[in-house]
Amino acid sequence: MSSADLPLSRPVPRSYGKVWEWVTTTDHKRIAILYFFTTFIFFGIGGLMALLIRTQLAEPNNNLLTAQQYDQLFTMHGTTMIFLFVIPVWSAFGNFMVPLMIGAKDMAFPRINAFAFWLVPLGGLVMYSGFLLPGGAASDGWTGYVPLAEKLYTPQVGQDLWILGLHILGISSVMGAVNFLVTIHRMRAPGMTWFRIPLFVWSMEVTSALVLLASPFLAAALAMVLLDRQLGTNFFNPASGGNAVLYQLIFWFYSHPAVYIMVLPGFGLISEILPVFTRKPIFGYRAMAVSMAAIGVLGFMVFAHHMFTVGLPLPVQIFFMASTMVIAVPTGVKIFNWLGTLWGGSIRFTTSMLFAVGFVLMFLIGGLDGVFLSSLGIDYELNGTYWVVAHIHYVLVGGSLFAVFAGLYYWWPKIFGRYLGERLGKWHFWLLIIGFNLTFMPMHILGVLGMPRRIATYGIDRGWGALNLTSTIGSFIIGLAILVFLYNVVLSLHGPKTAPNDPWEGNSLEWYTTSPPPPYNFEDLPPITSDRPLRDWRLSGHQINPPGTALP
Amino acid sequence: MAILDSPFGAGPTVSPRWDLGQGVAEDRLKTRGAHLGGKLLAATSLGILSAGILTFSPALAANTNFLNPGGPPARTIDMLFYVFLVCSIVVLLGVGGAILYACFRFRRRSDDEMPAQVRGNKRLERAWIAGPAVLLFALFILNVVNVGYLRSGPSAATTAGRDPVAIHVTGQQFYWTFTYPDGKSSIRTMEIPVNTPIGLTTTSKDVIHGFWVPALGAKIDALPGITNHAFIEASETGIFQGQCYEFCGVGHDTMLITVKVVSMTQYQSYLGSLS
Repeated sequence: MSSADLPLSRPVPRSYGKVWEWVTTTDHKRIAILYFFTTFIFFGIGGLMALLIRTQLAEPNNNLLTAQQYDQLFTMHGTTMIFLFVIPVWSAFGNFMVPLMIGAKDMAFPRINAFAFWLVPLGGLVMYSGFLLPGGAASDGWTGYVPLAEKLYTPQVGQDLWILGLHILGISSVMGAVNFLVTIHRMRAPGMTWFRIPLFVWSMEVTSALVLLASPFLAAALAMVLLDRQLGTNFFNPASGGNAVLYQLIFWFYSHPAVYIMVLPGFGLISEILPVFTRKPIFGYRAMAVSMAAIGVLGFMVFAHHMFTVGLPLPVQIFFMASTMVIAVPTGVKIFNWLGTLWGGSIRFTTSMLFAVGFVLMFLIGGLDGVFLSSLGIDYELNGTYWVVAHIHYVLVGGSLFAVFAGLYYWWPKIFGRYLGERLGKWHFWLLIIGFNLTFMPMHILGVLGMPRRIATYGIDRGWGALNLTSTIGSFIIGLAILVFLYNVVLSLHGPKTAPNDPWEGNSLEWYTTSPPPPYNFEDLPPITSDRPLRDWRLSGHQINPPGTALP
Repeated sequence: MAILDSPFGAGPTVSPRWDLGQGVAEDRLKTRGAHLGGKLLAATSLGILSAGILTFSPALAANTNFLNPGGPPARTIDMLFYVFLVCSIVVLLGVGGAILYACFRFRRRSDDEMPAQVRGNKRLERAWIAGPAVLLFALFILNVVNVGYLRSGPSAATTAGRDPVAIHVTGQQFYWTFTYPDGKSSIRTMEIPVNTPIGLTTTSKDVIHGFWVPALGAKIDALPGITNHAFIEASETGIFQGQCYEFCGVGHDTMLITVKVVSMTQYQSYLGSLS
């Protein structure tokens, strides 16, 4: 039987055909859109939780929320943003772009791809269902340290559902990772060698390897907690010979690489956008690829820097201080190479480019305030304070979220065939960067002033009120920026499909096909002889957009 | 209120944390209005400004701020912090400034301009591997030299004539117990003699807690089933505040620590007064 005889899709009852089509789709682009839709809903929920948290902290001795409610909120805010937004949103970008960028027709395993996606909303719903049960949702922070997470101290079923939800999400990301790895290794178009693949594909390669190697450790740690809670084992119960620190060692062996899982695709994406809007090649392509791989390897060797105050032997602490400082070097290489790409370029500030430069600047701050935490002496003061909260948000909001928006404005025309408004986009950017810095810069000072993270309120005598109020005002400006973005999305999706194949003078293959691309992506491919195949094709005199196309 | 009524609140009562009178609420409103405009402006500008505020912050919250040190270990940490702060500000201004400069200087001026296709520069790339590596190595050494002291306290030779005092710290939901060398104990408030290294041993009766008095030295976890060691020292008398920094449950924010630093004679009579 030849492939032409195979039906493309099963016949479906007419009445719910459209919905059924999306539910059963195995097309990587549709799955990517489902990922976008789902993760942004979770982003909205996580954001509303953040606004509640900030409102509670806006002034000393506030009693808007009870401590029980506050604890559930910060736990679910962290869990949502990390496991239901940042990690799966990169699967959204990866799903749409990796096959297009390497010239493939789909992901290697389309059905596994669909299955991995549907586990994401399932995992989220399992976790959130705790809110409906007595005792509420999980309440021990996204780190879920033991013995606090043992049944004796956290009796609610919500904590068990949180563990099960994370297991489901873990299965989803491992399946996604295998899919990306096989796709990147086996399905590159002829001529697409390792040092010609776009850096975003490199970043998905390293990220997927990290997911594959690290996720089992999280699963193991959580499984042990679940056994302790439900079957009465004593892995982490000191009274029966268990060890409370063991959990942290296993947990961070996953969760430090997880930081890179959350930010490496951002590195890759920025490395795609800067060359296009500067009309220059990326500065030091090989160094960029190698430094990502180096960060991936070193990312496994720094995990105990989250544990400098648990009393590990001093030589062990010094080793982890050294390895943490070493990882700053390849990270620095990336920032310098982005600077090198900007330098001497012909820079065009589209909204996407603004977000990309914003990313580099905010990530620079997030890198520098992280170096403080690598220092044992300084970490003995700043560990567990708002400095850490500031740092993680500079990396994951200033870093990952800015990169997500840079990528959305950049690829939106390819994904939907329509542009996101540039005028609203600029409002979105400036509101976000002002609100972001207003929210998180003061948290550095709060850390120095001795404010611990995860406290439901604080006394008026501590002198933290004014800075917290500043931070809360900033968080509502972030909320406003997100509303502007939503409005932009709604306008765009109701607008005409005007985007041509290649609106930005792109370098990579996704711009060769139509916007949005047809099923199976390409009818043919241009020859691939460098890391910028589309630019080569354009400069050799070929017309990529239909004649007379107006570009933004 | 639920917290105070919960079975966890078994320790001595603390004043209800949201029991604010009308007058306080009005004051709060005034404060909010007065600070808003200034703070908006202040917090928008980046790195440099935070450094400025840090320098003047001791006035804001005198007793939970490690940049307002009460003794030698906090002073050592401050020295490290300022070294890191200066280095980061230099890097931030240098690199951030270069990025902003490039953004203004290299804007596209005409639609058909094509910049030189520079793919890299081996010498530059080596320089920005070596530069940060050298700087980080220096910072690493600076830490290694000081870290033993921060964790274990001064060596016996340097403490001649002022014998260290050993105090055992026990965390439990949601208060601290301090046990002095003679076996007597106090809760929530600890009194220590001035100019005397205090060797702390910490442990916990239930979940993980964190002992931290910012102005007096390094923080340390209080773990169930494991004993940790730490050291604090004060060189001036007075009251220093701290609190639990490791999330430990619904009463986490109420788990405060007050340290009264007094003279050795007052300390001795305090021990006598404990039952």
